[in-house]
Amino acid sequence: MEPDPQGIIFDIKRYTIHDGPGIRTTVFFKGCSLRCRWCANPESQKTSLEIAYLKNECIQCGRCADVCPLDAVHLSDNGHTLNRASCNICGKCVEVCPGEAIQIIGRRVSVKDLYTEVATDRPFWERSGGGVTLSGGEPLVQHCFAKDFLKKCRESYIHTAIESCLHVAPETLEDILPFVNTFICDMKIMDDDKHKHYTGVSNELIRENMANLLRTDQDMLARMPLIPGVNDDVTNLKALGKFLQSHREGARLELLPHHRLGESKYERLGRSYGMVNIQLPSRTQMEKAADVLSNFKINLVKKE
Amino acid sequence: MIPFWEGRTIYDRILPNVPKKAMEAADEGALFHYYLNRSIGHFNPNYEIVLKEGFQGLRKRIETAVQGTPSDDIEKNSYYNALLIVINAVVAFARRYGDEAEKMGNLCQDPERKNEFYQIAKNCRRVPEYPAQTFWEALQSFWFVHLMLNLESNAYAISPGRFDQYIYPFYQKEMANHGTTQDAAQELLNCFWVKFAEMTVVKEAGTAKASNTYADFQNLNIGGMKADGSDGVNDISYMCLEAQSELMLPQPQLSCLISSKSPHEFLLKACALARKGTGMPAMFNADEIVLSLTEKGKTLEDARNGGINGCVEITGQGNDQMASSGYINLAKCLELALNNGINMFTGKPLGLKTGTPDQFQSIEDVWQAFETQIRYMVDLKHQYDTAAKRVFAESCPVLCTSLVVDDCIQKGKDFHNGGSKYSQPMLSGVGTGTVTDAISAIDYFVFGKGTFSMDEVVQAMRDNFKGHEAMRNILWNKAPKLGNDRDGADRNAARLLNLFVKLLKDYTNDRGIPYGADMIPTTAHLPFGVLTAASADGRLAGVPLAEGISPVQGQDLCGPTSVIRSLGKLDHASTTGSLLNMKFTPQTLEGEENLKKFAAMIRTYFDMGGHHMQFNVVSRETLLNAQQYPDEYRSLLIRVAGYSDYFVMLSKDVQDEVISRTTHEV
Repeated sequence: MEPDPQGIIFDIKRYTIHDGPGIRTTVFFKGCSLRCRWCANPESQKTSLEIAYLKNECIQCGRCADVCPLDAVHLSDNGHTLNRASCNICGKCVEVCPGEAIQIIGRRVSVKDLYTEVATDRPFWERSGGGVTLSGGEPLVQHCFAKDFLKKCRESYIHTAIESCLHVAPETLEDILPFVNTFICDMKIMDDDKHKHYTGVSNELIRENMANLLRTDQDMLARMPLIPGVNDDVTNLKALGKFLQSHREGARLELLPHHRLGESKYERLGRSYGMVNIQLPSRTQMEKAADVLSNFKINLVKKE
Repeated sequence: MIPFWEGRTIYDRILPNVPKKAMEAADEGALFHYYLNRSIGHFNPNYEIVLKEGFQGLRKRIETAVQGTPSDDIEKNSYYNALLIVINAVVAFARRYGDEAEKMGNLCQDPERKNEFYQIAKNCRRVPEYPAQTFWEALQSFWFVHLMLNLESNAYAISPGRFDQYIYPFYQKEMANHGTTQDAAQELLNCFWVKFAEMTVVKEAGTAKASNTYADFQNLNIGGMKADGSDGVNDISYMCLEAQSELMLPQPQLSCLISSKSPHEFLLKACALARKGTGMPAMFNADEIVLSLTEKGKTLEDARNGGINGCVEITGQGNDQMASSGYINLAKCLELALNNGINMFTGKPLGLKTGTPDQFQSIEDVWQAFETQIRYMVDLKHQYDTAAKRVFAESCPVLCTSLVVDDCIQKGKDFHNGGSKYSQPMLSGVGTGTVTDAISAIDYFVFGKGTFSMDEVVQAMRDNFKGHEAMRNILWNKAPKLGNDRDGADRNAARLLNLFVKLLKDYTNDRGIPYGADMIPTTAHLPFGVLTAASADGRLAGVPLAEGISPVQGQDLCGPTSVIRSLGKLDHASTTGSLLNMKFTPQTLEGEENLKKFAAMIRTYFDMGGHHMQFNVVSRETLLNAQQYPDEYRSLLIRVAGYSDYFVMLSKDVQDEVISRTTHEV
């Protein structure tokens, strides 16, 4: 028998309604090749398991320190600190924590088990024309696992969507193509230097992959998070409009207003958020950006 | 109290016949007293017969019945005589409205309004005595019947029921004759709608305080199916949605009956109304209603004509007496089972001696003790009910009611005395979610993992978890919980429901009809919670119990589809009603696409055999409360941009941000 491939996911959200048609069940894959400074899902970045500490839930009982075999937990009056360098994520503290103040982010699942877990929502997909969405992180960091899972879904006649930043080898994309109904792809910044500065990688691969997808009849929605001062300038917006239009007239694009809802997650993971000074886009800024893009032969999707 | 009534009230007649133990159990929160301050009620009248035949028709029916009654049957003959007197009284009452309207018309200067008064005068002199001829007359006739019933006995839950079915023919006929326009009809319907909200019932201080409202339980059903099984949605169904949408009043209680044949447009329009956030309409599964009613012995036709009464109770239209008997506190029964029948609050015996905690060897022993305590309480409640119903039957005839419930006239028997064609006694079980989670926690941590002994858990409950904070956290956070699509907990909910349904079948009313299980609390989960000690799911003493069959507040953490999956595992049709409350943020339902997804979710629950759903679309105030009491709002999901998170998990400033955004959108 073939071994059932394993992957690492960090969440499953049910009744998600913005990530593809119908009622969807979204699986969040761990691991990302980008390090966007504004990232709202910092727990998605590393492929490995991580410990999160939720200070508000802690009742300071000290059980975690008692059971830690590596002496990585230190109690103080103000909650406790975790020496992440010496922690090997054995999970003993998580097991004894009464308040669920310590959590392991991420878990290993097999394709079969993951399918069984999400397929309980099947009646909702069938009634609503929905399905499964792979998100992350970047699902294609776990390429083989993602492919097997998508394949399993398609074999069971389930609609699949994938949210990808497209920072993957073109061959990888081609490999999963037959098993994806809808692509939802981010384009953050058109200027490559700026892209490197804010995300840590060049956008060359992303542009190539997106262009390839746009040139086929593959169902695809492009997305750009609008971040004031980072990518809301007319030059960037025009470059994006031109790029999309040149590869597919009527390409669908959705502008997402930047938000700061991921901020508290940084503290839980013992990291700091790098974009504290960024303003949230106002309605006017959103409208202005939409105005610029309306000059191109693309289909600007209005957020419900 | 007026001295005359000392020793003569219904309390004075009933209470001496109630076992002392039952009174104790009621005072200590294990069960509710029977209806003493208001008449039993709980029926959907046969308005249709008055609209079609008028009281004139009823008069004829009575005269026919009298002819078939032996002249020496004095009791029956005087009963018929009384019914005829009542008919004359109601007709005279209506005519007085006609006279008054004419007077007002004479004084009125505005010619348009003047004519309206004259039309009203004409209507009130025609109906309810004669059959209604127009849409307006039909509404007027309905209203006199509704008013007469409410004036007669201040009864509970006099529900219009299948309103669109019996009103539609009058509308249709008039539209076909070009006697009215849809706009004019809608305006009349809206005026009529307001009348429900002005209906004021008299409540004693306690109930008034708890329910905080004057009007109640005027459950108006739309949609569903016709007697032949075909789709029942018509123009009036849509016009009722429109009326509620324009007026946003707390009464009538609008319920949509959705069958597999209901047009999707109807469901979508109902969803659009629900999105407005009045908690209405409630959605009901019409196919399951038919299943439940046929299982309870109704003919297929009567089952299809049936609908909803009161909160979520399944009933026949115009021919049934639901006779809900109030509530049993299932969580208190479990408390007694775990504490050898001793009330943890008073330290004194309240239930039966079913063994001390250290004697429980397995979860089966807990179930057995629990069932014994429930049976004991149901037994007491049944004695209480029987004593009360006897007094109602003997000395509280409700003649107006009996005129409009089949087959009271035919049988010559009062509604309170077995006159109705059908009768469905029932008892509400309260605290399903709390009990399910408590048993699941015991099963998981005591008999499964062995983390705690039964003794330790029970001691912690007695101490209200003081000095056992870690245990409370573990029980609250780490045990399987109802509403997350986990079989461990869901199986216990299904077992509890089956146990309760089966147990109640051993009890019958005076007509030999077995009791049905009604899985609703109304608001009893609050007062019951106050009188219930800490429970093994980590709930503290005095805190409200879970309501209906909904998961414990804040314990459903895997989204709405998981709640539905969990509760879809229950056998709803075996009950006489079950209540599921769900909460959504307005953003989740914004726009057409999301509305369709919402509708699809409701259909899916009904595919699974679910009975009822109602929705709170969350407001700013709720979010502010959620900030203040995060524990109660753990499952409140907030959707922003590309991902979702639980509101209470967000940091304070982000919460503030979300709150301000919500206000923008409102």
